[in-house]
Amino acid sequence: MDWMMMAKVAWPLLLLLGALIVGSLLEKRHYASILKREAQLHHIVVVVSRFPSEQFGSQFLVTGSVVVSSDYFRRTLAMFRQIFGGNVKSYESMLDRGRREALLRMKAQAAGQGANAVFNIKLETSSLSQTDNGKGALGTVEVLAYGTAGTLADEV
Amino acid sequence: MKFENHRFDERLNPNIAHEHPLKELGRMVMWLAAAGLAILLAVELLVRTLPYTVSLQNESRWFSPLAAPLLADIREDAGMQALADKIAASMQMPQGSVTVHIGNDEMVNAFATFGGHVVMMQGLLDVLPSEEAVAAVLAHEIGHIRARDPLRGVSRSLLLDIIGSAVLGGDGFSSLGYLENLRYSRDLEEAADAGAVRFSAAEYGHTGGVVEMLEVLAELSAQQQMPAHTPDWLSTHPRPQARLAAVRKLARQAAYAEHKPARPNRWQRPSE
Repeated sequence: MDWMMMAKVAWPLLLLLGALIVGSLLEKRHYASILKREAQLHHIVVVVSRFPSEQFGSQFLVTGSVVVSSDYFRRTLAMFRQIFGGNVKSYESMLDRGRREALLRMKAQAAGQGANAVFNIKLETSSLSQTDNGKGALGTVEVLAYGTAGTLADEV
Repeated sequence: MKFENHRFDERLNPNIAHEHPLKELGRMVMWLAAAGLAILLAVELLVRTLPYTVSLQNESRWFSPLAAPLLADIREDAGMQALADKIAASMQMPQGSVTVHIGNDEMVNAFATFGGHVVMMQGLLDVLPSEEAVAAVLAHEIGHIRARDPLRGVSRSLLLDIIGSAVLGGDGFSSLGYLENLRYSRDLEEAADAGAVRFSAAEYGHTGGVVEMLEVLAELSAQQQMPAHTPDWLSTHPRPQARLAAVRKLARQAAYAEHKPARPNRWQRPSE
């Protein structure tokens, strides 16, 4: 009787705590990996401009795409945000990681095919949530980065 | 033109929050709790003041339709009504403010609902051994009506229901079906018992009826094996034993006698 009540209250709290701990740990590890690979791929120049002023040879399309999801704790936090309004901070780091991961995958593709620069970068984010199921957003997004890779002649 | 990418200091990343998420959650939970508390306080303030501005007659006139589903399978009884009128008069209530019904139901229950209606279920009348015990139950329920407890309880559950459904969705009238099970705080129950004690002493010269009623209830709850380990302060209905102790203490302080009830219960059906 009382145990049931206790379990009913404690279970969601345990889930929240578990999600917070596990989610934070995974996020930390992901950021570490992002920073490491960003350093590795630093030589690939990424430019938003559509006008490379130099000779920019052997152009081809590169894409990097990633699907990231928020954890239970941060989703709950976002649900609270829906009550108060304001900046949904709990999703920010997820989106930041998603964008950078997508760029990294795109750069890795460019590097793997011998390019040293990517021009005309575009980033697209699309929600993969089943909204309107009465439970609010699921907090899953796809981030796509694409651009024109090629070989930029070094300027002397 | 030279193209190159610069590194930036991760700690200055403007795209992410640098505050620990638990802090944010704590802040929001605190505000929610404060808002909830404010709403509860406002509701409490309303239900503790507004019912007293409505006279019993108006309450009966305005709210009786709401009580209709609770008064479905009932019959009137002149003797019971006379007893109720006597009790109401002894409690200085205006003439005609209490209407008593007998519910054709095997459930051991009695309740007072808004509009000054009291329903005594046949199941309860069958287990009460004496008229004094019946009068004690009746006086208890009429005490609730006099204190405007039903209207207060109803307005509270309706308000909370409507607010809750506005926040969480749903229809705001789901509590209407459970109004016969309105639960009052221990204080209200004890006050109603005290009214029963005073009436019994004035009418019959002793408080045996109240004691008998509570003993019957105690026996029944023992049979149903209610969770006896639930502490009193957790339960809104004080346990019969606790009520019995309170009633006896009250009788002792007022120097009321306690005899075995002598009048037969006229509303009891002969048991097979």
